Amino acid sequence: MKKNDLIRALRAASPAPDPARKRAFLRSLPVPPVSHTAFILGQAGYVRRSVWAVSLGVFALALAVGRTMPADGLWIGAALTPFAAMAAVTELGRPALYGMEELELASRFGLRSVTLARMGFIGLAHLVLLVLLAALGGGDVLRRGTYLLVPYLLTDLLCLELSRRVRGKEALYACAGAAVLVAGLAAALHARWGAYAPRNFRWWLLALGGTAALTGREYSKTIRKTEELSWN
Amino acid sequence: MDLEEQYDKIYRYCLRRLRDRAAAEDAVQETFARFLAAEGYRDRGKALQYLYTVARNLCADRSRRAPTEPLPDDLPAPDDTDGTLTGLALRTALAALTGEEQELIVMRYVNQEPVSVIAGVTGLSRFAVYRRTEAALEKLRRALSEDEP
Repeated sequence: MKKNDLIRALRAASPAPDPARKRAFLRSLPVPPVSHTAFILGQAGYVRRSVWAVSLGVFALALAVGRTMPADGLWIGAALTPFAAMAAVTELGRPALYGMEELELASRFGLRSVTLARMGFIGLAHLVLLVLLAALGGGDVLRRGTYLLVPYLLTDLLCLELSRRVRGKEALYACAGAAVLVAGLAAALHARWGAYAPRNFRWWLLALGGTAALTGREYSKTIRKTEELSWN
Repeated sequence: MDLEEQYDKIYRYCLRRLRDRAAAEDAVQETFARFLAAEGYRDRGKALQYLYTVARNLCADRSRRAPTEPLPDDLPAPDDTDGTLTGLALRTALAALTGEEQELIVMRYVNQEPVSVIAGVTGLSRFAVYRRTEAALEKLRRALSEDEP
Protein backbone atom coordinates (compact mmCIF):
# COMPACT_ATOMS: atom_id res chain seq x y z
CA MET A 1 0.00 0.00 0.00
CA LYS A 2 1.28 3.46 -0.89
CA LYS A 3 2.07 5.93 1.89
CA ASN A 4 -0.56 8.45 0.77
CA ASP A 5 -3.26 5.75 0.55
CA LEU A 6 -2.41 4.61 4.04
CA ILE A 7 -2.59 8.16 5.43
CA ARG A 8 -5.93 8.69 3.69
CA ALA A 9 -7.23 5.42 5.15
CA LEU A 10 -6.03 6.43 8.61
CA ARG A 11 -7.94 9.71 8.40
CA ALA A 12 -11.04 8.04 7.04
CA ALA A 13 -11.03 5.47 9.84
CA SER A 14 -10.53 7.99 12.64
CA PRO A 15 -13.64 8.31 14.80
CA ALA A 16 -15.42 11.61 15.41
CA PRO A 17 -16.79 12.77 18.76
CA ASP A 18 -20.47 12.64 19.66
CA PRO A 19 -21.83 15.67 17.74
CA ALA A 20 -24.58 16.52 20.24
CA ARG A 21 -22.22 16.50 23.21
CA LYS A 22 -19.62 18.46 21.28
CA ARG A 23 -22.16 21.10 20.20
CA ALA A 24 -23.53 21.49 23.72
CA PHE A 25 -20.03 21.85 25.15
CA LEU A 26 -18.82 24.38 22.59
CA ARG A 27 -21.96 26.44 23.11
CA SER A 28 -21.36 26.52 26.84
CA LEU A 29 -17.82 27.86 26.48
CA PRO A 30 -17.37 31.48 27.53
CA VAL A 31 -16.06 33.74 24.80
CA PRO A 32 -12.53 34.65 25.87
CA PRO A 33 -12.24 38.39 26.56
CA VAL A 34 -9.94 40.43 24.34
CA SER A 35 -8.12 43.53 25.57
CA HIS A 36 -8.50 46.81 23.65
CA THR A 37 -4.86 46.75 22.62
CA ALA A 38 -5.07 43.16 21.39
CA PHE A 39 -8.26 44.01 19.47
CA ILE A 40 -6.77 47.08 17.76
CA LEU A 41 -3.53 45.27 16.92
CA GLY A 42 -5.55 42.31 15.66
CA GLN A 43 -7.57 44.59 13.37
CA ALA A 44 -4.38 46.22 12.07
CA GLY A 45 -3.46 42.83 10.68
CA TYR A 46 -6.60 42.85 8.53
CA VAL A 47 -5.80 46.15 6.83
CA ARG A 48 -4.90 45.34 3.25
CA ARG A 49 -1.23 45.40 2.35
CA SER A 50 -2.05 47.61 -0.61
CA VAL A 51 -3.19 50.36 1.82
CA TRP A 52 0.16 50.28 3.59
CA ALA A 53 2.01 50.03 0.28
CA VAL A 54 0.20 53.09 -1.18
CA SER A 55 0.70 55.04 2.06
CA LEU A 56 4.41 54.29 2.29
CA GLY A 57 4.88 54.84 -1.44
CA VAL A 58 3.18 58.25 -1.33
CA PHE A 59 5.15 59.40 1.69
CA ALA A 60 8.45 58.09 0.35
CA LEU A 61 7.83 59.84 -2.98
CA ALA A 62 6.86 63.09 -1.24
CA LEU A 63 10.01 62.86 0.89
CA ALA A 64 12.22 62.16 -2.10
CA VAL A 65 10.73 65.07 -4.05
CA GLY A 66 11.07 67.36 -1.02
CA ARG A 67 14.76 66.46 -0.71
CA THR A 68 15.66 66.71 -4.37
CA MET A 69 13.56 69.77 -5.28
CA PRO A 70 13.29 71.92 -2.16
CA ALA A 71 11.53 74.74 -4.02
CA ASP A 72 8.71 72.57 -5.36
CA GLY A 73 8.67 70.00 -2.55
CA LEU A 74 5.92 71.81 -0.65
CA TRP A 75 3.23 71.77 -3.29
CA ILE A 76 4.20 68.39 -4.73
CA GLY A 77 4.01 66.85 -1.25
CA ALA A 78 0.62 68.51 -0.76
CA ALA A 79 -0.54 67.14 -4.11
CA LEU A 80 0.53 63.60 -3.20
CA THR A 81 -1.02 63.21 0.27
CA PRO A 82 -4.63 62.96 -1.06
CA PHE A 83 -3.75 59.51 -2.43
CA ALA A 84 -2.75 58.29 1.02
CA ALA A 85 -6.05 59.60 2.36
CA MET A 86 -7.89 57.82 -0.44
CA ALA A 87 -6.20 54.52 0.45
CA ALA A 88 -7.28 54.95 4.08
CA VAL A 89 -10.92 55.70 3.27
CA THR A 90 -11.26 52.87 0.76
CA GLU A 91 -10.34 50.50 3.59
CA LEU A 92 -13.38 51.83 5.42
CA GLY A 93 -15.66 50.93 2.51
CA ARG A 94 -14.34 47.38 2.05
CA PRO A 95 -17.28 45.59 3.75
CA ALA A 96 -19.72 47.49 1.50
CA LEU A 97 -17.62 46.83 -1.59
CA TYR A 98 -17.80 43.06 -1.07
CA GLY A 99 -21.37 43.03 0.29
CA MET A 100 -20.19 41.88 3.73
CA GLU A 101 -21.74 44.62 5.89
CA GLU A 102 -24.52 42.45 7.24
CA LEU A 103 -22.12 39.67 8.18
CA GLU A 104 -19.72 42.12 9.82
CA LEU A 105 -22.55 43.62 11.86
CA ALA A 106 -23.58 40.18 13.10
CA SER A 107 -20.08 39.05 14.02
CA ARG A 108 -18.47 39.03 17.45
CA PHE A 109 -16.86 42.43 16.93
CA GLY A 110 -19.40 44.70 15.24
CA LEU A 111 -18.69 46.75 12.15
CA ARG A 112 -18.57 49.94 14.24
CA SER A 113 -15.76 48.69 16.51
CA VAL A 114 -13.87 47.24 13.55
CA THR A 115 -14.21 50.49 11.56
CA LEU A 116 -13.09 52.60 14.52
CA ALA A 117 -10.12 50.34 15.26
CA ARG A 118 -8.90 50.22 11.66
CA MET A 119 -9.43 53.92 11.02
CA GLY A 120 -7.72 54.76 14.29
CA PHE A 121 -4.73 52.61 13.42
CA ILE A 122 -4.38 53.83 9.83
CA GLY A 123 -4.98 57.45 10.90
CA LEU A 124 -2.30 57.19 13.57
CA ALA A 125 0.17 55.61 11.13
CA HIS A 126 -0.52 58.37 8.57
CA LEU A 127 -0.13 61.06 11.20
CA VAL A 128 3.26 59.66 12.18
CA LEU A 129 4.29 59.56 8.51
CA LEU A 130 3.04 63.13 7.93
CA VAL A 131 4.95 64.40 10.96
CA LEU A 132 8.06 62.57 9.77
CA LEU A 133 7.63 63.99 6.29
CA ALA A 134 7.17 67.51 7.65
CA ALA A 135 10.19 67.13 9.94
CA LEU A 136 12.52 65.48 7.43
CA GLY A 137 11.60 67.80 4.56
CA GLY A 138 13.47 70.72 6.12
CA GLY A 139 12.23 74.27 6.74
CA ASP A 140 9.36 75.23 9.01
CA VAL A 141 7.77 72.01 10.34
CA LEU A 142 4.45 73.67 11.16
CA ARG A 143 4.14 75.16 7.69
CA ARG A 144 5.08 71.98 5.92
CA GLY A 145 2.78 69.96 8.17
CA THR A 146 -0.14 72.28 7.44
CA TYR A 147 0.42 72.16 3.69
CA LEU A 148 0.41 68.36 3.83
CA LEU A 149 -2.50 67.98 6.22
CA VAL A 150 -5.00 70.27 4.48
CA PRO A 151 -5.25 68.25 1.22
CA TYR A 152 -5.13 65.02 3.22
CA LEU A 153 -8.07 66.07 5.39
CA LEU A 154 -9.95 67.52 2.42
CA THR A 155 -9.67 64.19 0.57
CA ASP A 156 -10.74 62.34 3.72
CA LEU A 157 -13.73 64.64 4.02
CA LEU A 158 -14.81 64.21 0.39
CA CYS A 159 -14.24 60.45 0.37
CA LEU A 160 -16.22 59.93 3.56
CA GLU A 161 -19.10 62.00 2.22
CA LEU A 162 -19.00 60.11 -1.09
CA SER A 163 -18.77 56.67 0.54
CA ARG A 164 -21.95 57.43 2.48
CA ARG A 165 -23.79 58.46 -0.68
CA VAL A 166 -22.43 56.04 -3.26
CA ARG A 167 -22.25 52.26 -2.72
CA GLY A 168 -19.87 49.50 -3.77
CA LYS A 169 -17.26 49.89 -6.47
CA GLU A 170 -18.63 53.26 -7.55
CA ALA A 171 -17.61 54.65 -4.14
CA LEU A 172 -14.05 53.55 -4.83
CA TYR A 173 -14.00 55.31 -8.20
CA ALA A 174 -15.66 58.41 -6.76
CA CYS A 175 -13.04 58.51 -4.00
CA ALA A 176 -10.22 58.13 -6.51
CA GLY A 177 -11.76 60.98 -8.48
CA ALA A 178 -11.89 63.14 -5.36
CA ALA A 179 -8.23 62.40 -4.61
CA VAL A 180 -7.21 63.40 -8.14
CA LEU A 181 -9.33 66.57 -7.85
CA VAL A 182 -7.71 67.58 -4.55
CA ALA A 183 -4.24 66.75 -5.88
CA GLY A 184 -4.99 68.91 -8.93
CA LEU A 185 -6.26 71.68 -6.69
CA ALA A 186 -3.07 71.52 -4.58
CA ALA A 187 -1.01 71.85 -7.75
CA ALA A 188 -3.20 74.63 -9.17
CA LEU A 189 -2.93 76.60 -5.94
CA HIS A 190 0.80 76.73 -6.54
CA ALA A 191 0.77 77.28 -10.27
CA ARG A 192 -1.94 79.94 -10.54
CA TRP A 193 -2.10 81.71 -7.21
CA GLY A 194 1.23 81.05 -5.48
CA ALA A 195 -0.71 79.95 -2.44
CA TYR A 196 2.31 78.35 -0.74
CA ALA A 197 3.97 81.71 -0.16
CA PRO A 198 4.55 82.50 3.54
CA ARG A 199 2.20 85.50 3.39
CA ASN A 200 -0.73 83.18 2.68
CA PHE A 201 -0.01 80.83 5.56
CA ARG A 202 -2.82 82.19 7.77
CA TRP A 203 -5.34 81.08 5.13
CA TRP A 204 -3.84 77.61 5.27
CA LEU A 205 -4.21 77.56 9.05
CA LEU A 206 -7.83 78.60 8.62
CA ALA A 207 -8.32 75.84 6.04
CA LEU A 208 -6.69 73.35 8.40
CA GLY A 209 -9.11 74.25 11.20
CA GLY A 210 -12.07 74.03 8.82
CA THR A 211 -11.14 70.72 7.19
CA ALA A 212 -10.23 69.15 10.57
CA ALA A 213 -13.60 70.12 12.05
CA LEU A 214 -15.55 68.98 8.99
CA THR A 215 -13.61 65.69 8.73
CA GLY A 216 -14.32 65.00 12.41
CA ARG A 217 -18.01 65.59 11.70
CA GLU A 218 -17.89 63.27 8.69
CA TYR A 219 -16.27 60.49 10.73
CA SER A 220 -18.91 60.91 13.39
CA LYS A 221 -21.66 60.72 10.72
CA THR A 222 -20.10 57.62 9.17
CA ILE A 223 -19.88 55.87 12.53
CA ARG A 224 -23.47 56.88 13.32
CA LYS A 225 -24.51 55.38 10.02
CA THR A 226 -23.04 51.99 10.95
CA GLU A 227 -25.08 52.20 14.19
CA GLU A 228 -28.23 52.80 12.15
CA LEU A 229 -27.39 49.81 9.96
CA SER A 230 -26.98 47.72 13.07
CA TRP A 231 -30.35 48.93 14.40
CA ASN A 232 -32.09 48.09 11.12
CA MET B 1 -7.88 28.98 16.67
CA ASP B 2 -10.91 27.07 15.43
CA LEU B 3 -12.16 25.41 18.61
CA GLU B 4 -14.53 23.10 16.74
CA GLU B 5 -11.76 21.68 14.59
CA GLN B 6 -9.40 21.37 17.54
CA TYR B 7 -12.12 19.61 19.54
CA ASP B 8 -12.21 16.79 16.96
CA LYS B 9 -8.44 16.53 16.89
CA ILE B 10 -8.01 16.44 20.65
CA TYR B 11 -10.83 13.91 20.84
CA ARG B 12 -9.02 11.57 18.41
CA TYR B 13 -5.82 12.04 20.36
CA CYS B 14 -7.46 11.29 23.71
CA LEU B 15 -9.40 8.33 22.32
CA ARG B 16 -6.16 6.75 21.15
CA ARG B 17 -4.64 7.30 24.60
CA LEU B 18 -7.66 6.37 26.75
CA ARG B 19 -9.40 3.85 24.46
CA ASP B 20 -12.81 4.81 25.80
CA ARG B 21 -15.20 7.16 24.03
CA ALA B 22 -16.84 8.63 27.13
CA ALA B 23 -13.50 9.06 28.92
CA ALA B 24 -12.06 10.69 25.78
CA GLU B 25 -15.00 13.14 25.60
CA ASP B 26 -14.52 14.01 29.28
CA ALA B 27 -10.79 14.52 28.78
CA VAL B 28 -11.37 16.78 25.74
CA GLN B 29 -13.82 18.95 27.62
CA GLU B 30 -11.55 19.26 30.62
CA THR B 31 -8.65 20.08 28.30
CA PHE B 32 -10.59 22.94 26.75
CA ALA B 33 -11.78 24.21 30.12
CA ARG B 34 -8.17 24.34 31.39
CA PHE B 35 -6.91 25.77 28.12
CA LEU B 36 -9.41 28.62 28.14
CA ALA B 37 -8.83 29.33 31.82
CA ALA B 38 -5.05 29.70 31.31
CA GLU B 39 -5.36 32.97 29.40
CA GLY B 40 -1.86 34.31 30.09
CA TYR B 41 -0.08 31.30 28.65
CA ARG B 42 -2.52 30.77 25.82
CA ASP B 43 -2.08 34.24 24.34
CA ARG B 44 1.70 34.02 24.28
CA GLY B 45 1.68 31.93 21.11
CA LYS B 46 2.09 28.16 20.69
CA ALA B 47 -1.58 27.75 21.63
CA LEU B 48 -1.89 24.46 19.77
CA GLN B 49 1.15 23.02 21.50
CA TYR B 50 -0.24 24.10 24.84
CA LEU B 51 -3.61 22.50 24.07
CA TYR B 52 -1.97 19.18 23.25
CA THR B 53 0.24 19.36 26.31
CA VAL B 54 -2.81 19.81 28.55
CA ALA B 55 -4.56 16.90 26.81
CA ARG B 56 -1.46 14.72 27.05
CA ASN B 57 -1.03 15.30 30.78
CA LEU B 58 -4.74 14.77 31.44
CA CYS B 59 -4.81 11.53 29.47
CA ALA B 60 -1.66 10.31 31.21
CA ASP B 61 -3.26 11.00 34.63
CA ARG B 62 -6.48 9.28 33.68
CA SER B 63 -4.86 6.21 32.18
CA ARG B 64 -2.67 5.86 35.29
CA ARG B 65 -5.77 5.96 37.48
CA ALA B 66 -7.78 3.53 35.35
CA PRO B 67 -5.69 1.20 33.15
CA THR B 68 -7.08 1.10 29.66
CA GLU B 69 -8.64 -1.78 27.80
CA PRO B 70 -7.99 -2.26 24.10
CA LEU B 71 -10.36 -0.39 21.84
CA PRO B 72 -13.37 -2.55 21.09
CA ASP B 73 -13.54 -3.89 17.56
CA ASP B 74 -17.06 -2.60 17.07
CA LEU B 75 -15.95 1.01 17.47
CA PRO B 76 -17.67 2.72 14.57
CA ALA B 77 -15.45 4.15 11.89
CA PRO B 78 -16.78 6.88 9.64
CA ASP B 79 -15.67 5.37 6.38
CA ASP B 80 -15.54 1.62 6.49
CA THR B 81 -16.49 1.10 2.90
CA ASP B 82 -12.98 1.33 1.45
CA GLY B 83 -12.55 -1.58 -0.93
CA THR B 84 -8.90 -2.32 -0.22
CA LEU B 85 -8.66 -1.77 3.51
CA THR B 86 -11.27 -2.11 6.22
CA GLY B 87 -11.27 0.20 9.22
CA LEU B 88 -11.10 -2.87 11.42
CA ALA B 89 -7.78 -4.09 9.97
CA LEU B 90 -6.34 -0.62 10.23
CA ARG B 91 -7.40 -0.17 13.85
CA THR B 92 -6.03 -3.59 14.77
CA ALA B 93 -2.69 -2.78 13.17
CA LEU B 94 -2.63 0.63 14.85
CA ALA B 95 -3.37 -0.92 18.25
CA ALA B 96 -0.38 -3.25 17.81
CA LEU B 97 2.00 -0.25 17.74
CA THR B 98 3.59 1.12 20.91
CA GLY B 99 1.89 3.99 22.76
CA GLU B 100 4.44 6.50 21.49
CA GLU B 101 4.09 5.30 17.90
CA GLN B 102 0.31 5.57 18.09
CA GLU B 103 0.59 9.07 19.53
CA LEU B 104 2.91 10.17 16.75
CA ILE B 105 0.76 8.62 14.02
CA VAL B 106 -2.41 10.25 15.33
CA MET B 107 -0.80 13.66 15.73
CA ARG B 108 1.14 13.68 12.48
CA TYR B 109 -1.04 11.81 10.01
CA VAL B 110 -4.57 11.78 11.40
CA ASN B 111 -4.59 15.27 12.91
CA GLN B 112 -2.01 16.61 10.44
CA GLU B 113 -0.13 18.63 13.03
CA PRO B 114 3.20 20.23 12.09
CA VAL B 115 6.37 18.46 13.19
CA SER B 116 7.32 21.51 15.29
CA VAL B 117 4.14 21.18 17.38
CA ILE B 118 4.64 17.44 17.88
CA ALA B 119 8.26 18.03 18.87
CA GLY B 120 7.15 20.64 21.41
CA VAL B 121 4.51 18.36 22.91
CA THR B 122 6.55 15.17 23.05
CA GLY B 123 9.89 16.75 23.94
CA LEU B 124 11.58 15.05 20.99
CA SER B 125 13.75 16.81 18.44
CA ARG B 126 12.16 17.60 15.08
CA PHE B 127 14.42 15.07 13.42
CA ALA B 128 13.47 12.38 15.96
CA VAL B 129 9.77 13.11 15.38
CA TYR B 130 10.21 12.82 11.63
CA ARG B 131 12.25 9.62 11.89
CA ARG B 132 9.94 7.92 14.39
CA THR B 133 6.70 8.83 12.58
CA GLU B 134 8.10 7.50 9.34
CA ALA B 135 9.22 4.31 11.09
CA ALA B 136 5.79 3.89 12.76
CA LEU B 137 4.01 4.38 9.47
CA GLU B 138 6.26 1.83 7.81
CA LYS B 139 5.55 -0.63 10.65
CA LEU B 140 1.83 -0.05 10.17
CA ARG B 141 2.12 -0.54 6.43
CA ARG B 142 4.04 -3.80 6.90
CA ALA B 143 1.47 -5.11 9.40
CA LEU B 144 -1.32 -4.38 6.94
CA SER B 145 0.55 -6.03 4.05
CA GLU B 146 0.98 -9.19 6.13
CA ASP B 147 -2.77 -9.24 6.83
CA GLU B 148 -3.67 -8.95 3.16
CA PRO B 149 -4.61 -12.26 1.58
